[in-house]
Amino acid sequence: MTLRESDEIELVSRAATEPEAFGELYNRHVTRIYNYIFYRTGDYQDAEDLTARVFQRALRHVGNYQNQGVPYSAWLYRIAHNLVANWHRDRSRRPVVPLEDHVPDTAAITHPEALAMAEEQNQMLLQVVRKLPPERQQLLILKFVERLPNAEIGQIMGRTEGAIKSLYHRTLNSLRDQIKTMEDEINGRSS
Amino acid sequence: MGGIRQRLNRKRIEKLLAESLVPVEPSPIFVSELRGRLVTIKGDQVFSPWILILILASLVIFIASALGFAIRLLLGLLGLIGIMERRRDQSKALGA
Repeated sequence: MTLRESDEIELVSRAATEPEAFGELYNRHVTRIYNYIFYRTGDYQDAEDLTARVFQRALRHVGNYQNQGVPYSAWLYRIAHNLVANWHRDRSRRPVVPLEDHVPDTAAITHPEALAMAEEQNQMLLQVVRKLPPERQQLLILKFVERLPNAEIGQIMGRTEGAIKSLYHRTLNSLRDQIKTMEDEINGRSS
Repeated sequence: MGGIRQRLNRKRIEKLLAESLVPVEPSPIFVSELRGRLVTIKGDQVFSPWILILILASLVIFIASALGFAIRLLLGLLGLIGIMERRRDQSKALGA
């Protein structure tokens, strides 16, 4: 167990009675949870609303938390995962939400046409990603947004490192197929 | 779509994902306001209404049982005084 992990366990045990300890846990994890929810929902307002609910629920139940060798973040991700699933269920009539406000890191691209193309490409890819099953979306978010290693992703998702590698491989294949299908649809419409 | 239409090998998909899935920062106002709400102890957040009802019900039961015990004690004392008075009256009557 690393120093940070043992420090976190100590913080969690204090958080039930000491608001400041919970505040420290909040500081450590709020951006990660917000990112996860943002990429699962595609909307800033909903990401803020659901992030608030995740931490309110975590505060209510922090006394029941039991350390079972997985990081505290795994517990928070599980709460976020459940709330996002409920959110999708409530909004099942419109499963794809446009990421209008999302501005990717395109500082290196200066030409307006190239910028527009890159933006279009990002939008398309995010749409495809959001059509993947929830666990595959979670894997991609943890890997690319959080840049976590497979072992840590495995801890968070309750799987072995090997299972994560396998799931990642299948996810990339699935993405490739879906991108091709989407392109074929677009080409079919334009021709 | 020219960019994606290129040969979609694993490396290319990973590059596209790395470009699209970039970390975003929540608004600082949102972060600080939520922290304030979570860290400041508020009765309605820490105690659920059911706990409050349970505490009130326990208090009512405790007061009722304490009152019942006090009334029994008082009645017992009065009874004892009555018995003692009667005995005194009886002894006075016998003496006379």
